[in-house]
Amino acid sequence: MKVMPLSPELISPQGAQSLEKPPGSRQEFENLLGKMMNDVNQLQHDSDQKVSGSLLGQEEMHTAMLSLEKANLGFKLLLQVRNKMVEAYQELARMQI
Amino acid sequence: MSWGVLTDGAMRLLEKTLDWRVQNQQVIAGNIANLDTPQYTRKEMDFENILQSYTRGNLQTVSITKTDPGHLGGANPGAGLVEETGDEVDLDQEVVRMSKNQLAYNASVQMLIKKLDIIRAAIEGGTK
Amino acid sequence: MSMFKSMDLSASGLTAQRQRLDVIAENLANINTTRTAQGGPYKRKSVIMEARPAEDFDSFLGSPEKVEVVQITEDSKGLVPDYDPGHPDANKDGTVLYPNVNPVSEMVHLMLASRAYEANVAVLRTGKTMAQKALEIGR
Repeated sequence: MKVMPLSPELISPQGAQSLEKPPGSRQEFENLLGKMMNDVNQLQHDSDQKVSGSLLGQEEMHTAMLSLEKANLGFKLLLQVRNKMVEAYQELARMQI
Repeated sequence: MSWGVLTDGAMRLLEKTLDWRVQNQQVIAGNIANLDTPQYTRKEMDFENILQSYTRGNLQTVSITKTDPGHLGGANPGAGLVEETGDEVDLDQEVVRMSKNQLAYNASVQMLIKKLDIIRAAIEGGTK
Repeated sequence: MSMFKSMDLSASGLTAQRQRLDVIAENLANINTTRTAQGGPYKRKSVIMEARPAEDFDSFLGSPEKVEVVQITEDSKGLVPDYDPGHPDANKDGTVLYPNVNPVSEMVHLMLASRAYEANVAVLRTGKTMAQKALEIGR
């Protein structure tokens, strides 16, 4: 079986608008967080759909499993972001003025 | 959704490959089921072609064909990838094809799992 | 399309080959039957298989097809006459007609059907393995 060589345009993350640029103002950061929560919500919905689809025989097994894992990872990421934020806040609160 | 590495080129290719490999399993299943059917000719999916077309961006996955004008399209988006060969079904050849297909599928799943592991490690910071 | 569809295709193959097997068994069992319910000797039966689209609306190019036994035919030619006037089924000329079942060719068909049956089982097994592999995605 011939192994297909990967061309550069294939692995470069074209969809990687990930975290655009570090937010400068509080407003941007809030939006970012809101967007992340929406995205995670979207992932969860998508995975629910795919899972029930696979039970009905309309979706493939791997599609459903993958969507579950993506939703899972998305959620974990959000959780970590939240934890860091709480930590940062606590750090601030401890500062002596 | 802009989760970067979850939607990048390699990930998308892996996902598509899984779909195609499953479809190929069906094609092979159909060939083997019709091993003794008179006048049946085997069908196949040419993966070199498919992957090349995909990377070049001109993959044809047409669902509508000329068989039935009243036919509702969209029922099977991958139909354009399956080719009619006009050859008889050779059981040994078909079984080998099936093995290769399974290996390719397993390999793709494995690679996918590895990619996900990397992402997970990045998120959890290696605490798990 | 789902993985389970390939299993349906294999299932149709299993059914068709099993029917073929049944017919072969019937042929061999009746190899000397000179008198049947319809009168006359047993006539060799064979199955006619046809490829069918897997689901009603899937009748387009590229869709895998399942197999179906559409007919079991009888072959009236080649009945073997034997001169035996004392036999209760002898006709007025004293010949008895024996079935046109050739045991050697039936055995060959038996092996082919058996091989085809096993091949379909292998397809089922492979499909199952692939699905199980997919389950590993979630760890």
